[in-house]
Amino acid sequence: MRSKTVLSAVGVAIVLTTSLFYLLQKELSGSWLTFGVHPEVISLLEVSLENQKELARLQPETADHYRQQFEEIQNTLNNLHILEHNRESIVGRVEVALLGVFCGGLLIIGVGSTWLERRREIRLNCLQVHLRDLSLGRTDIVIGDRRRDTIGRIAGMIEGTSQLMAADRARLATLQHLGVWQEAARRQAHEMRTPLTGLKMDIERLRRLMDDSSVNSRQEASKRIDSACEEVDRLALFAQTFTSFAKLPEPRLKLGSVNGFVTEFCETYADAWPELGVQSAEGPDAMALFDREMLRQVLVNLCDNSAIAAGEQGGSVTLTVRDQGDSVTIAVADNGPGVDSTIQTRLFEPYATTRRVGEGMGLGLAISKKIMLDHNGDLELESNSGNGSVFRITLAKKGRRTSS
Amino acid sequence: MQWMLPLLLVVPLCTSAEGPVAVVQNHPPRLILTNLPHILTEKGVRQELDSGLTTAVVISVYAKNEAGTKLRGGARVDIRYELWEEVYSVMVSGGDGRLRETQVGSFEELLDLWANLSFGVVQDDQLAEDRPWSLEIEASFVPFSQGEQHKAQLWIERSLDPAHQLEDLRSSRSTSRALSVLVATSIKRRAVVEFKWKTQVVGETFSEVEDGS
Repeated sequence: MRSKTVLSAVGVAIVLTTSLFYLLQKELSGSWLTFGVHPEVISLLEVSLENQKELARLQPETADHYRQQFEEIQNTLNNLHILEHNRESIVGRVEVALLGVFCGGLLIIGVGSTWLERRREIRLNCLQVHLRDLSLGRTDIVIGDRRRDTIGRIAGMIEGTSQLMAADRARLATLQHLGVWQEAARRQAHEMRTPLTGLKMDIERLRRLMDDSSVNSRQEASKRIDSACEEVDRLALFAQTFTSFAKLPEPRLKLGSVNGFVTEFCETYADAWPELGVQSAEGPDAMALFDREMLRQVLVNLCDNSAIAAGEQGGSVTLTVRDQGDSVTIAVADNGPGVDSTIQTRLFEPYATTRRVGEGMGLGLAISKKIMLDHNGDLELESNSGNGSVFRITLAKKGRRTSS
Repeated sequence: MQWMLPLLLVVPLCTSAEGPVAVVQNHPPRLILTNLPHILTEKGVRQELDSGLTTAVVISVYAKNEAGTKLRGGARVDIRYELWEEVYSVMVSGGDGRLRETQVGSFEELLDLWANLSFGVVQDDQLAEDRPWSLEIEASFVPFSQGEQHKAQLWIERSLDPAHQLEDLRSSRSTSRALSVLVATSIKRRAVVEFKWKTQVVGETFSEVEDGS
């Protein structure tokens, strides 16, 4: 559309300037010829002819000389007469030649302008594509337009912005990664510090009680020993949690009824969370490959999170099985406050939690995600709002799951 | 609209005086024109005759008889006023191949010569047949000869392209050369005025006709 507009504009410009040129040069083309065959010039030559004849008559001894001059003047006069006869033809051809040169020049300018405009349009279209990529967050944009004009400078700016974005993104990823490790280290340190402090206190107390042989001392010592054992158990549990994450076993996949499993789970864990109701929704049965024990662990983890999120107000969790063709999904939907938006983007990363230090390591969803990925399935947050969240567990029907 | 002027000039003056008289001579069989109309005094012709250039009167004849036979011929009369001698040189080149040259001292004598001029335009055995012929005669006045045209072209080329005088075309600027060629090739021999007539001739009108005035 734009090319047509440019072509139309160029065409109109050519027609207008050509018409103007024609009107102007038409008045000038014959002027030079007029100077050449000016009537006064011809009159003077004719007078000069007469003068030569008169001089020859007056000086017969040099008549030949005057005759020769006469013939030269006559030749010139004849040529001027012939020029005058062809005035219109000469002027017309000069006009045509000038017009042709002018039109040719305009045509070259027009074609050249159109070609340059087309090239510019191509470059701008290319820039547009790269700008769209930049808006989509691409950081590997290379344009290669190095010309020193406005478009080249814009191309350079786009490339520079892309590189800046890449650098910032890498820096942010590094900082986030370091932040995660910092948070993990802080939680681990707290989890270990508390039982270690208790353990030390118990040992100190036992040292003092060793010097006292009274019955009360022995009772006190027994209490301190029990307390120390509890702290050691707490440390062991802390270590076990890490072991569970680090050494997740490979799932033993067996084909089974997903509906049947979900129904059995709801019956078994109906009272496991006092403030949380667990139920399953009606639906057609579907068969899939899964490890019953590990899948149970995932569902328990999700229900644990729902119960903590619901708090004292309580809530409910509904499990719904759906057959998706080449896979089977279990939707775990609660009616709690939803997932905090600050951790939504890294929900399944280790140590991602909004709980206070000491209330959990934040490994539950990371372990559950790993379990489902080992099942050739997946665990995803399907939806999230202030009225609850829905997690979707995907199980493969066959050995290799296609995308749901 | 000035370029249309030459076209206007060549519009045939058919309303002029009667055309020439055409006669057929049997021995040898040829078509002869005589009693030429008084066209030398026509406007556009008279001024060319005194210019000093060679005015050529080109006469073309197209003949056709009842049998459909077509003949074509012509003649040329060159008239030049010699400015120095102040005489008119007249050369008649007939279509039958005959050539005559003469001189007259005044325009009146030229008119008289012209009025009594006769010349053959076609020589063909078919003219001996006793059939009437329809003739179309055209007379064109060309203001200068081919030789004069060539001289003028050379003169213009030298004037517009100084290198041409030195015969060193390598030093000639392309624009000067182009302009000189453009102008020189624009010089054409065009008729300034034309006449056309139609007439009839019957074979063997005259058995013998004297050529010349």
